[in-house]
Amino acid sequence: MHITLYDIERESYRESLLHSMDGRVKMVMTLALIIYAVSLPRLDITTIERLGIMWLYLVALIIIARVNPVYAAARIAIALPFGMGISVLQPFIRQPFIPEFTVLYHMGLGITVTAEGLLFGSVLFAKFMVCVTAVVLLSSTTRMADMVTSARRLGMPAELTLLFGLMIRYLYVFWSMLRRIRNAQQTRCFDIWNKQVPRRWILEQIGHSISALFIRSYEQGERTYQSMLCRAYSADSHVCVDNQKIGARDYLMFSSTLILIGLVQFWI
Amino acid sequence: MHIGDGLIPLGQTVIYWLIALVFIIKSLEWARKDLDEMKVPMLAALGAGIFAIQAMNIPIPWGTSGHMVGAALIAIILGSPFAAVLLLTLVLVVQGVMFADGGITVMGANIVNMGVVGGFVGFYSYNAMKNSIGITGASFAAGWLSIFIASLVCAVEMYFAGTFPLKEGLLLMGLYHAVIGVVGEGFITALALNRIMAVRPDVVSERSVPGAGVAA
Repeated sequence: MHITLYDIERESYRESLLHSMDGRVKMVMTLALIIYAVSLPRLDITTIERLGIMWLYLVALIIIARVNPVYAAARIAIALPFGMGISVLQPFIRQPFIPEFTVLYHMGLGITVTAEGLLFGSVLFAKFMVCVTAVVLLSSTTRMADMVTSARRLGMPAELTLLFGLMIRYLYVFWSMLRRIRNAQQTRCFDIWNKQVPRRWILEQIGHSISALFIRSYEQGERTYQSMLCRAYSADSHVCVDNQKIGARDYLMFSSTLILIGLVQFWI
Repeated sequence: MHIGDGLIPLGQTVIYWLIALVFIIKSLEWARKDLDEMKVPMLAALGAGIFAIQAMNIPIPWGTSGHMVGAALIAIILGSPFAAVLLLTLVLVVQGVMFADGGITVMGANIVNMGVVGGFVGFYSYNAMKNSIGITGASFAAGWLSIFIASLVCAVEMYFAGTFPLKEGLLLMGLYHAVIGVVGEGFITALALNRIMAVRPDVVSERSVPGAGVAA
């Protein structure tokens, strides 16, 4: 399944308990889960148990949020290759920070599978999985514009708020431009793997498309600046973000996450 | 080259975040000075454009497709490595928070690799070569070097993180990016720069025209 910007935006527009939560709470909650997951010891079997419980908690939240399960699984799967590649190699590597190794299996040619390497690889993968799932949950339940507003309420400088606020609007413009370029290429049977045309010609076409996207984004910036000037924009302009009270339900959700972290830390 | 959360210990991610923050602050200063009040709409639109550019599939050897990072191209066109730092930061934040591509705690490391190393290596190598071998050769080499050196830095970070041995990491990451960098970054950077110079020469910074100085 191919995930696009539109798929993420569609999921973030659903209605559920998590979608209606305050963006600040969701962002801090995600950050707390990720920081805790990353901080866990890397050579401890209990880390896997702790991360397993956290992952189940995140999956439960994805279900409560009524996020499409196929979409959620595809998003996690797309993000996995780099982390999974590094984790899968660990049982065969003798990391210098590990004092002793217990060989589990000799594969020949001097390659061995070690218990410590296997544990380290599993912990790395579990950490990676929890963090990716947490980000998938956040981005599937929070609209991009809400994230920018929430970041401002959490103290992000006004200049960056304006920058990110404008950027996410244009993400859709250029995503749609990219889609139009791809459609136009497909209608002309353009295929990057076509062996009947020289590879150099294919790369030139891609280079031209990239140049076009760059020039168009530059010109979009110029046009936007002109139109903002017409509407009295100046260097001191900023996005007006009102103060929003955090509700009891938000506190409850945040507390449940903190309690979960406390439980996995002290009970396992 | 997007390192994910969990692959670098928390203490080390703080160091990379601090290094990245220094460069982000410097890049905001550059934007205030060089782009003045035009900076916000310009950077926002360019950030979105780079995001789309990075989503374009490029056929690379070994039958797989890759994508362009664009740090060298941005730094050369806008005439400063800080432009690459700022725009790559914007793109990496959106990729990390929206797509789980990269991560949150490791975002500092990713900004250092792709934005800082990519931007600075791309900008200064282009300027060192533009007068001797010309725009096309210099931009090709700058694009290739930006991705190759960034991959080596990434391998060193993974070694410090205790996630991958140094020799094997440098060999694997270096070799892989040395090969894909020829097509994905070098060739496309040279082609795009020539094209942009032909269509909108005013867009390209005067500092990147042969004969100009190299001050950032």
